[in-house]
Amino acid sequence: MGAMLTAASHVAIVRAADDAPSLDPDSVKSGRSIYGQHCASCHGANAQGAPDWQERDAHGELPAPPHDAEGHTWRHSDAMLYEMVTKGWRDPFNKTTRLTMPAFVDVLSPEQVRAVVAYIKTLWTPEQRRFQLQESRNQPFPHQMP
Amino acid sequence: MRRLDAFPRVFSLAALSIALLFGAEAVRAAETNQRDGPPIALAYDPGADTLLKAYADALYRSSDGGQSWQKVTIAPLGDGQIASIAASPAGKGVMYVAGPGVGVVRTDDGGKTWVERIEGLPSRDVIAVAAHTTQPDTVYAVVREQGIYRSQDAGKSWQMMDRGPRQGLVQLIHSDMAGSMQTGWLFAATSTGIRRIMDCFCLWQDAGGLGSQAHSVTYDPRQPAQIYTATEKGLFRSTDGGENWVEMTSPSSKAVALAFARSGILYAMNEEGALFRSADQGGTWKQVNA
Repeated sequence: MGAMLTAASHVAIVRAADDAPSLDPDSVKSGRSIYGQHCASCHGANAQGAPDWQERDAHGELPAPPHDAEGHTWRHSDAMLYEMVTKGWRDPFNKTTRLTMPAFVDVLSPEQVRAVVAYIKTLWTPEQRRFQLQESRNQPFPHQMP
Repeated sequence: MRRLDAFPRVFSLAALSIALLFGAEAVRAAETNQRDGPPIALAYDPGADTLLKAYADALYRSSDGGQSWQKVTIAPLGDGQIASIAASPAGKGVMYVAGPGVGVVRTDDGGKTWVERIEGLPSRDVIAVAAHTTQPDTVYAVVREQGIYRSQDAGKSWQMMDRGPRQGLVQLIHSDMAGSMQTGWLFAATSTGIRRIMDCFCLWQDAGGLGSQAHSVTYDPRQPAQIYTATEKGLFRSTDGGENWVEMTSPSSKAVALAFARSGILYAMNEEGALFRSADQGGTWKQVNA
């Protein structure tokens, strides 16, 4: 029963973006698993982001943003998302010196990064998917470049 | 009618009084103010090494640091008003002018000819325009009560990007300050101070806690984290991208427009239209002969 519910919700997620570009279901499935293992602890099990993610915390850092339609991940091209996951990123206004987003270059393979991004794309609206596709036309994943 | 006839005499007497009190420059500024109304915006075109100043119904260009000005005719202005000017890195003399009733117009020959760039904007009620610092064809337009639109083809088409800060935006600039997730940052002068966002439009944030109406914002392109703003409370400088602000010496009465030239000169124009220059990041000011 649990497996049926999981499968049903998976179909629903993919259908939510039916009029947006299609995603490889195997990549999405793999990405969902990788997300749960490496990303959910900060960005939330449902990619809803940390509480009060728009305000700096007690350390002067911005908490992890959502990756769903409420966040801003969809505004970035594939190339930019790949770079942020692999190299990490530091908010220049953080009051600490550590990376705001840790670097996963030694943790995830390029295929795994692509899979995570594929899963995250299922959480966006069709409009957001189309915008992100447009942004990615000239900025695709690195290994898709000619 | 008698009142109208008396006006030039009254104005001349006023000008004489001002001249006696403050000198000829104040008179010239007052005369310009009389002719064009209060100044709206100041900008620097690095490609042409010219300074630009705008009033609601007129645009002027100076090639000698503001000592002399030539009027630039904008044919498509019609009944519209200028609210904003932005020089583009696309080349010498490429700039945009925007305003209510105007929409956005662009010139690529220093103002000899202008082309409307409104396809894709919801209205001509544009209150600010900003050119991307490093991408020649990227430009931003703020449409009143709609939001911020971006064009990546020099204004030929526009796409809605963000609703924008809610607090009365009066100016928008793009900066290539480091640390953005995308290609740079946008700074907005608003009724509550300076607001800042990466140019992916990810999250608007207060840049420091100025808490005062900001009239203008500019930055030093040689050191992009150095931001300057003219507010209702005075002039302020930040050396850390707008996190912290220090009040500067004000050149005169309230400055309402700022621009930073490639040579390192910071210009400030007050509400009477008088222009001032500073070669030491606002430490000291000198009035420019108009």
